[in-house]
Amino acid sequence: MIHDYIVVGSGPSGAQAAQTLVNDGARVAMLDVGVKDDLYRGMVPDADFTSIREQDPDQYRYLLGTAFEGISWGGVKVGAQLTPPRKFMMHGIDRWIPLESSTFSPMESLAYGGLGNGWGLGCFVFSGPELEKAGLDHGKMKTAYEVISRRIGIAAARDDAASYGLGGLDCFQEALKIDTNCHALYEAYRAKRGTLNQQGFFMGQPPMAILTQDQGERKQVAYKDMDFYSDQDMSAYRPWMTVDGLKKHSCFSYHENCLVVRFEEKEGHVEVSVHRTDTHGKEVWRCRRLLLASGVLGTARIVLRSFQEGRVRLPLICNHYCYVPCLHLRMLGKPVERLRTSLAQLVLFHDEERTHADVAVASLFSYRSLLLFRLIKEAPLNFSDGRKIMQYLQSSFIIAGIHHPDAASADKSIELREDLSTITHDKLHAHYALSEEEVKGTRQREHKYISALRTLKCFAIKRVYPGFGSSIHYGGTLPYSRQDKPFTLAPNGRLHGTKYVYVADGSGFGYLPAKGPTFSLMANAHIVAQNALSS
Amino acid sequence: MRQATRSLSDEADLIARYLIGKSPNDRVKRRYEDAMHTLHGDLDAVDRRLWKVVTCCPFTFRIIDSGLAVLRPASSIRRKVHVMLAVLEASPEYCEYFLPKAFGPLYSVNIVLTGARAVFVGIIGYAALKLMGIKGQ
Repeated sequence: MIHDYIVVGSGPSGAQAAQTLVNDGARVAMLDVGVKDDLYRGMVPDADFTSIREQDPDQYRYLLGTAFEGISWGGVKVGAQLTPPRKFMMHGIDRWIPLESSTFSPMESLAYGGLGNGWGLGCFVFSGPELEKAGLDHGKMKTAYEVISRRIGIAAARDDAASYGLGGLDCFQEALKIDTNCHALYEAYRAKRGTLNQQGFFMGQPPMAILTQDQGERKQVAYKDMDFYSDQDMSAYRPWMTVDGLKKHSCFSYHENCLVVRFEEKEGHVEVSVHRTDTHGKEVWRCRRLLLASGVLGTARIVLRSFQEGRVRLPLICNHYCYVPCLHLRMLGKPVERLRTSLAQLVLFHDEERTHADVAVASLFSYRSLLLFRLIKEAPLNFSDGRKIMQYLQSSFIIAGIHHPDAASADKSIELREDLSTITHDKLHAHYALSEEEVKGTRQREHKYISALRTLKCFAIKRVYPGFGSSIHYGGTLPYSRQDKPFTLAPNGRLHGTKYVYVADGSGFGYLPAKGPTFSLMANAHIVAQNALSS
Repeated sequence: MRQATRSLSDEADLIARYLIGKSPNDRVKRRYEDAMHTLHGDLDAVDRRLWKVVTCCPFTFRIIDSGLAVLRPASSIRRKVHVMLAVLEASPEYCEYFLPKAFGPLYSVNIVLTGARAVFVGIIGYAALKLMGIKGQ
């Protein structure tokens, strides 16, 4: 049997690409490993965080994990921020898609819904200069952003940050309520807006993929502050919701336990080799068009295996970031409301030149639902006094996650090497280093952020660098190119050197703005799917 | 095995007294035992030496913990305390020690004093560990 379209992967890109294809009446098969959470699903009660803490004797099972996997020890590492009910996202990674690096620690996922299960929900529109640098078409992306916005539901505000986060996006719901801590910070910003704007800082609410009004089966957010533990009421968008919806269409079929290894083009169709993760059997699937959306690193593995051109080094880009715990003095000893979300409350853009290019972003979070014990560990104090002090300071903590844009360079690359000890007989090796100039620019920018926050009576305690790769924003391995060069993509998303293979994830982005790319990934996947339909 | 369980139960009691000033209930003790069985927090030679001091003279716990926080933050003793802290925090009976709440001005003074004490004990702990010949990690 030859399928019309095969989509590989069920993450944000795969889900949206498949949706576009199905909306056009195409017959689509989705191949996915599709790891699901069978342990914690249904375990987290439908209640707010404080009620759970005060009443549920079994809370330790999902707050700490049934195997206490939520009590991490040692240095900050990728995935440590995931709560036990979200850790399933990383199951099977080492076994099925191993990666070796001493400089780069990415997070990949074989889960149903992919990395979208842990997405922070920020929906940022890339500006014209950012789209141009990334190799994306401004006009098409503008339309695609609107399409995706209608599909997933976005809550946003027209404030100072809107020109950076929202662009010209028209379709959005009322913004989320901000919690007391960040509301006080925002009021401080409004009082000092003139000075901060002059320095290139613009604060507002981030557009978020969460509902403030009911949409179909999905309910408006109930502010239960359990966002890091479960998808209560489905108010926050996750890609699995799209795939669940697609399964109701007769022209869509979902196939789990399928690890796509490589493809080979034949006359008029593509053969897709699959390694089954349940039986270890090997299968060959056939399709007229193949859309790869298995994440930047996953897609790179498939493409490199398929071309088998010996050792090839692909470029890699990734937003580097640091987080800065701060004390917001206005909130010292103040109570915190019961009902809020754990998500980013505010966002602070830095655009010194006002060019909308190379903008940095700091997402601002209050701290509560990740529990205090994680924070106490970070303080160089004894635990007993640390507990008492942190409990007092808790309501005044603001965590600023500062992201920087990234572009390709010789020191950032991946390579697939033979390794007979792995199931696929290969292993991806990554190398990532910033140039001295990049490091200097990054530190200067962080310093400016810290200074701006200080203006708002929000004092940085320290800077934490979780390591390269931990931003979970990757791109640039198969950059868009108008020239027919190997390991690049044509502007319509087709992989150069192939007739029927398209790449619908972020592999083509030749530049990663600091803004989280997920919304743009979904918009781009929609465009690539349209291109595949019209080819 | 029974001996090991009893010692973990005693350990839970010792650590909880240090952290919140009272013995935990049996459920928390059992959970701590489960966590330690699962997480395998084995002590190295330095930690064993310090742990012996803590168990013999519980009043030294704060000093040793303070010194370790500066000199050996990844010490297995600190890990034990961290596990107990997590277990206590995820128990409804003890959540009041962790949840944010409104504090009066007097409590703010109390916190300032606690902070000052933490720094002071940190210096004492650091010096004590150095005197014992313990090196940083």
